[in-house]
Amino acid sequence: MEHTQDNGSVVYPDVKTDYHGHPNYFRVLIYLLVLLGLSLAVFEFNLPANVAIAIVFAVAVWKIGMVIRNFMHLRYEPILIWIAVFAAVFILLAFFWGVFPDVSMVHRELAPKL
Amino acid sequence: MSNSSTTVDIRQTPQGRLGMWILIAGELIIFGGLIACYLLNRIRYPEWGMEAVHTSTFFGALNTAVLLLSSFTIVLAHTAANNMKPRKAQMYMMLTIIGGLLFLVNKSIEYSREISEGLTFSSPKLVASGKEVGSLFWSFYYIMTGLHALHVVVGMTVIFIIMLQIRKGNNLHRVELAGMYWHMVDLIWIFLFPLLYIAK
Repeated sequence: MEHTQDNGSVVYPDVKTDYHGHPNYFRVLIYLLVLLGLSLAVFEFNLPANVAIAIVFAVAVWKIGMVIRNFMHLRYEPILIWIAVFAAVFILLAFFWGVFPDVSMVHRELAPKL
Repeated sequence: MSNSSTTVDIRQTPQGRLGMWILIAGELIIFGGLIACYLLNRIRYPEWGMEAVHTSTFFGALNTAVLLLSSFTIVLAHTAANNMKPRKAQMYMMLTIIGGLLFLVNKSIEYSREISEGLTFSSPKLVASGKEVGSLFWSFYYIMTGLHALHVVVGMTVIFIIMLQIRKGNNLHRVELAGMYWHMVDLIWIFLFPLLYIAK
């Protein structure tokens, strides 16, 4: 199975060793370090704390997406692999939102004392 | 890039990669469950923010940068292995292991500082001052970062073993599999960093 590299050349890798394309890894690293810098600098902008924290977590999710897509090459994987990975994420979100009302809406004084 | 996910047939996915993706999905559940429990408790006990003040953002950021750089070196090892250059791949794998060691050294410095300040599991200092809820923060902190550090050690061991295996140019495809595990360790830390070090 051929794939095109960033410089436009088409290569035919050995399926056993490499069946996917290769993004520009250095560029991905620079983006990741810039995003790290952004997550550290966001509190310097005098934003409301909730907004700053939301930005920091959005940046973290963005960074995770970049690592998983480019370094782990998920972008070249068949759709069934995407489904397997996102099924795990879906299960976690279902757990979180399933339990969230119990945690957030029960009066604190009724909760078992630690 | 010419390849997109939809154009690749699952039957062409090498078995090793398929196995690694299943392992990674399992690890996501383990760490994700811990993180979800932490978030639920954090919402319930806003005073945890006062405990998070004691974590060192400098060391957290430094460790994030170290792991990102080591992810870069392991992906370069994978590229070198694809180009049938085992020596070069070994060099990049060694750099990755050094990155892992640096991460563990930073973490131990952090742990020793926190433990010396009495911030431990069920911290007697916090319990004595009526901050039992705050001591729960440290229980989560040590479990999450400790389990992550254990994964770093496993990743370094796997990379070292594969580094020895490929010296004669055999089993070069295993470099990518070790790399996938290392990237997973990296992306778990990417989420732990804002959770424990920035959201104060």
